[in-house]
Amino acid sequence: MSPETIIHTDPRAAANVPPPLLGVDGLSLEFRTRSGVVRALEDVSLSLQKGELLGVVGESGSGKSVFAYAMLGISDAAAKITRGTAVFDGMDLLGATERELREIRGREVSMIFQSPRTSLNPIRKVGHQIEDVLRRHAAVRGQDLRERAIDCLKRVRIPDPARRYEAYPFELSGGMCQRILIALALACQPSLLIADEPTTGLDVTTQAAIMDLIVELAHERQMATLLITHDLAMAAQYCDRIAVMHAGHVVEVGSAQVVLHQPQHPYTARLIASTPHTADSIAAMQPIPGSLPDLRAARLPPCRYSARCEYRTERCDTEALPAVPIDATHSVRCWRAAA
Amino acid sequence: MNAPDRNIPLLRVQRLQKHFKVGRNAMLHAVDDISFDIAPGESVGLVGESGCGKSTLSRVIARLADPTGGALQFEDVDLAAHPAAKFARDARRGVIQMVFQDANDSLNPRYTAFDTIAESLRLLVGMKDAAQIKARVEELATWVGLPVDLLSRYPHQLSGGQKARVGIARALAPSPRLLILDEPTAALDVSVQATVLQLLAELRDRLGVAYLFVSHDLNVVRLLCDRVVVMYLGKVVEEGPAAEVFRAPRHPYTQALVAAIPDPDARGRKSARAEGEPRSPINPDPRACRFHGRCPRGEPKCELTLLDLKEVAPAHRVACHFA
Repeated sequence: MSPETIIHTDPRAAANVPPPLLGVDGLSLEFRTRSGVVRALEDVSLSLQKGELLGVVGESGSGKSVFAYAMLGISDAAAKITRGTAVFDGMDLLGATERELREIRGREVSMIFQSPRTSLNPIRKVGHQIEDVLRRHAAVRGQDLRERAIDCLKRVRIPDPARRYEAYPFELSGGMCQRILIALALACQPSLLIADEPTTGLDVTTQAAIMDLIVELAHERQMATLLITHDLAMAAQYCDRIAVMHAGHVVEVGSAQVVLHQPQHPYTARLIASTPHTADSIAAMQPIPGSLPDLRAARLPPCRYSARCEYRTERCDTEALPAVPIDATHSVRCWRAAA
Repeated sequence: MNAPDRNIPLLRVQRLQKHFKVGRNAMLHAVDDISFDIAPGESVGLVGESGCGKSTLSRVIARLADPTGGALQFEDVDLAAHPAAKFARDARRGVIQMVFQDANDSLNPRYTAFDTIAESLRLLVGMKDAAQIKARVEELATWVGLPVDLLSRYPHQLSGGQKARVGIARALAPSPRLLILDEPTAALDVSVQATVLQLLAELRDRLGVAYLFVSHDLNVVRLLCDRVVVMYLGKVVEEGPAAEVFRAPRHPYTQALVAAIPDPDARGRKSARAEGEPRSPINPDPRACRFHGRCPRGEPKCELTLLDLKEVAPAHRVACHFA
């Protein structure tokens, strides 16, 4: 599929929206493991405009991180993309060679990983780690390097950056390490930032400060951001749009406010009702029944939520359903919403 | 609900102190002069950021560590006087039990769910009769919603939610009066978290057991707890009815904490954040408020006089010049 077709399948094409910075269409990915083929992503279509913040939410195992890794071409060796396209700024990400990908990783597309401590090199000063990125991607040399690295630290509001430049990761707090990772990711001013649970394991106060920082930097530089999180309330607070994933499907995409207040997919509604933030009492919380289906099952139903769904009909298990647009920006993968 | 007399505290924490020697003339004040009560059947939330001493405090209360000062009055005995090493075999070991943060790390991988729960009955209750043990383990499993046929499984054969249930059943086995829950839902997915919280609320109502609920998920504390204790760098900065503290926090730190709870309605709004890093807990200035330096309201006097908690409303105490 060429980039043109992607624009056509985007419901916003009619509204004369420019081509997205990142356009993913019908992406399917499976893991070929010894215990069988795991269908980790199926028919995932998402797009991201310049400067936009898209939240990807779902339970663990829903495929959020698999999706992010696929975008960067850093999937596990057992992963195989079986269908679909992904175009970033005119470049075919899935057909690109490792060499081409290496040129855009860190420069055009950056990623902030979970667990800041394990993503940093423990035996290298953080300042030097930032210099490594600058040397590789921004062709900065000599004296300027140190200055630029300290500048990067300053930009993520690390107090006393010249001193922290000399620090090893173990000398810094978790929140501080996360800031270093953000500094690393933003060192070359990427146009797309993928943040995979950037605040998991951090305190709420630190979480809020880190999210404020990401959003501010995103706005300042018109950087598109893909925020992967299991925290729907957080995604709704900081993102423009939200994509809800369940068992490898994107079940709902829409503006953050619409998804939160008028969810159309039964899973989204359950996800909202099960989070403590919306509930007035413990009794009012509604757990999501059942668990994710076994993605190895040779015959997964077209709707992978059907076994957990209170509105299940025969059709859900027999008839394949694409994402149904509710309006220009909101689409849902559910027969009930389609009716 | 079993209506225990809430006027006589079950546990009275009095000027409790836990200092660690970290070098010559260097003392880390993990828990510094903390006092609060837990009434029978009451749920108290303990919140604060990592490093504030909440885990150390809960370990001292559970008698897994010895305090360096203060008293722990449990009903009519001072538990602080019993060294932790001996307390492990004390007859009262069973009255305070703990549910640990990560069920993966806290369950013996070579014990089945049955063994884990039965061990607690043998060691802490002194139960010997196999049939009696079996009946009690099955009763406990039913209470926590763990299907009896899963009792023969090992931890790696159980899901995260099921492991959490085993951890809760194990802690409940010796019929504790106080259950310390250290982030019991932090490792669980949202879908499972709701069921475990509902289970905890139901067990509390059925058994009348008091909870000390350590968490940094403030929404969970708001829903599950009657009262909340807010810690900052070894000190309690605010304590009061949970609903009131979350609706109208009085201490600037609590305000920053509450403002940091993810809230879709706060979209685009700039909230007051606690800027910067906490002070060092090593040899803290005994006169200065620990929050000074990060506090948006800090004034010179905050560095000169450290206030004790004072009552600002019934059962609501705050340690701040501006409360």
